[in-house]
Amino acid sequence: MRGRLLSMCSCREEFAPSENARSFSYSSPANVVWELTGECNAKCKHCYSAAGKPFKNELTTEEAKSVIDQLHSVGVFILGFSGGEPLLRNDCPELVSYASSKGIVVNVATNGLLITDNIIKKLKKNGLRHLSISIDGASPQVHDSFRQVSGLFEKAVQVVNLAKQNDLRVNLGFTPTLLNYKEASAMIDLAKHLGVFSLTMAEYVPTGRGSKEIDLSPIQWKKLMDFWIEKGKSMKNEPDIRWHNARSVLLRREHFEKNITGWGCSAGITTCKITADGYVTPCALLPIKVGNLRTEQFREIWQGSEVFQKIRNRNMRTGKCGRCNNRDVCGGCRAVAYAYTGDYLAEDPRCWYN
Amino acid sequence: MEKKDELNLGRKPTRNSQLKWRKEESEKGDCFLVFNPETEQLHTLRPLGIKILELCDGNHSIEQIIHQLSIDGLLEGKDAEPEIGNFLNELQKRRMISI
Repeated sequence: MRGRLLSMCSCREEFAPSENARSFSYSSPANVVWELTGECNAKCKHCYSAAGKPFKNELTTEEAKSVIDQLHSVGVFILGFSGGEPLLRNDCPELVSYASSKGIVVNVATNGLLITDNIIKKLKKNGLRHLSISIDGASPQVHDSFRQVSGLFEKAVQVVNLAKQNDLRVNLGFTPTLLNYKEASAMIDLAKHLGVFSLTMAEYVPTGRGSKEIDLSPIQWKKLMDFWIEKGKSMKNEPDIRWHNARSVLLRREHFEKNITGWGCSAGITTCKITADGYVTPCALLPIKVGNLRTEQFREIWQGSEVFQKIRNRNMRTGKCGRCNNRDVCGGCRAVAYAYTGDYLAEDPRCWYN
Repeated sequence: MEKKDELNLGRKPTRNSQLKWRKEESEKGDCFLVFNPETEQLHTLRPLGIKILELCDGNHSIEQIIHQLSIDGLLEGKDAEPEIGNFLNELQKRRMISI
């Protein structure tokens, strides 16, 4: 009966490896990342948006509210405003308020530079639940060098404390590359010291300003993920150690037994991204534009896009990912496949699994 | 809560009031996507699971939940009760209900 009641993915008999992999298709995403602006006041070496100047044709406040209406109508649970630096848009607090008023859980991802106590209080009052602050090293030397802004580390730490004082949940976002992956253990110590709710290790994808030269090898990724997951188990949610990694299921065999395997790569399945100028892409790190919200409804794009339909169908994977017994629960990171091959259905070149 | 005799049938589970869910229809059967803002985790529940979750309103005891599911013809076999107990235990672990 268990399979009839609850599972993260589907019932176990459907999960068992077979010749025909699954096709995941939900009526709308659970989580949408929205790059409110292309403008940024930092110059992060790994930025997937290559942020700097605002886009020429960014959505207006009214257009943005119309998009929020659409996301609400299709049942999106979580909306994450990012950028660029989302707070460079003066209407960010207004959009937080608008989305929150519709019952959507709203998060803002920021580098912290523009945050003041007043802004924190305003965001909180407007319904913000969660502030995600990027910190890519546990010391000013590493973080400031990575983000190319002097004093950013100290500012980020200040913002963490301000947010906590105002009862906001704080997540630290850590993106490992060759430049900073050795900071992983220190980042966990820092997160614990700061008393944040969660620490998330993001998948580095060499797109935008991010180069392949600073990427880790597949084995380095595996070792890092092994460490991160094991450390997470021992931390008992203080803080909650998280990761964005399609392949993490391959390292968590115990979850196979409990049938809590998830979807693996969630691009176009439970998540997607909206760009500052209204394009929809399958995930924050996969820059394939599948439609524009100025000319199409969100529902039409989500349900009608050929790219989305192909990406949801695990039988469409090619190479190693297409042959893999774990394609139902992993599927390989589509953004990494695209960044390295130009083909979003190709095998994931970062995968260590054979 | 692994065995039937360990179930405290008189307890009244209460659903986490923050939970949000929506129905998803497919050829292989309906399911529900459930988001728990407290843990920020996403879960998939089968229709029977969501029915149980709906009955976890603080007014129904576990015994009454089982009884209601039986009346509705949703329970089969002698293992149903302990399975319901395991399921409720799992929901509690995921902070979707409190018992």
